[in-house]
Amino acid sequence: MRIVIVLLTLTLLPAAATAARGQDVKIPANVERLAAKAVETVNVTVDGALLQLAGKFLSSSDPDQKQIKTLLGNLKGIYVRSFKFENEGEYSEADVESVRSQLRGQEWARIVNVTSKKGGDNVDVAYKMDKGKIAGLVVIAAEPKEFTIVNIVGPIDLDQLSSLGGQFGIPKVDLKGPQK
Amino acid sequence: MNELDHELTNALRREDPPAGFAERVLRRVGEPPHADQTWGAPLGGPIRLTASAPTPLTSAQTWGPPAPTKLPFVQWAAAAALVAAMAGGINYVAEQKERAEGEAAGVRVALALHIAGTKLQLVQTKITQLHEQPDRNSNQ
Repeated sequence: MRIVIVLLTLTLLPAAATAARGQDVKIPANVERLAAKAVETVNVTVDGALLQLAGKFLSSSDPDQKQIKTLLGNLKGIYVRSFKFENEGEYSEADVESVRSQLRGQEWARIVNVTSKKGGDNVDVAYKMDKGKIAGLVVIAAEPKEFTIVNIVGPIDLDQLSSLGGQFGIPKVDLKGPQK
Repeated sequence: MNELDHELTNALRREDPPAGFAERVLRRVGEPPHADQTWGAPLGGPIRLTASAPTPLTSAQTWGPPAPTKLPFVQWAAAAALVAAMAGGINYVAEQKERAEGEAAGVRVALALHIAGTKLQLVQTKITQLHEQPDRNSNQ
């Protein structure tokens, strides 16, 4: 009987790990519950199949569309949860920590951690490396009246992401940082 | 007015059919259709409505479907065209559905990248502010 349980565990563990790897960062139940308090909730889930489908209808002849098509072609998923609240303090530090704690694994490296006591904005940007390339990017933005989690899964070229700024409603971002 | 009434009564009065009319109609019903029957009468052709003479209808004046044995190619071509049209229709609907799904996914991707870009821009602003603060302090 014990042998059967051990064999079953050994068989099922890799399958469970593969399924969990799809989205990497999970949205905890306490964060999902914030939707009930929020005045505006954005929930975007675009998995690999949908990304491929979206890329299919982007033109390869248009340079702008070609750029986004190349970016999407490598990605495995984009997941966004954003909650806007009417008043400050409608979500707790524990809610933010439940997501942030998932980025403490060895595979994750923190690029930026901005904590602003004056404005109350706390932003974390972390990435995951795989074979010397960025294999995922997570942005956790905890603002006084807004809490946002962006999870981009798959190989992502930051320069490419940066160059998309100004197109398709994507703001211009210089990911190389201020030049001195 | 009376004259019109009289004319109408005269025109619409009941008249018995000529002798043997019923037999002739029944005989015609039992006859097999002509091989070269076509749909309807040709344009400008006389349309006989009288029942007086049992004149045999010419090929151009009779009704009924085309003979099945004479034009098998046309039938097969029509069937093939119908199947092709149906397949084309199904394919078109599937393509339209896929396009709509692709466009909807594109909108979601653009929204996700917009939010990601906005938050990265917030980080950039904060970092820029941090870089500017020591400069400002040193200038004062």
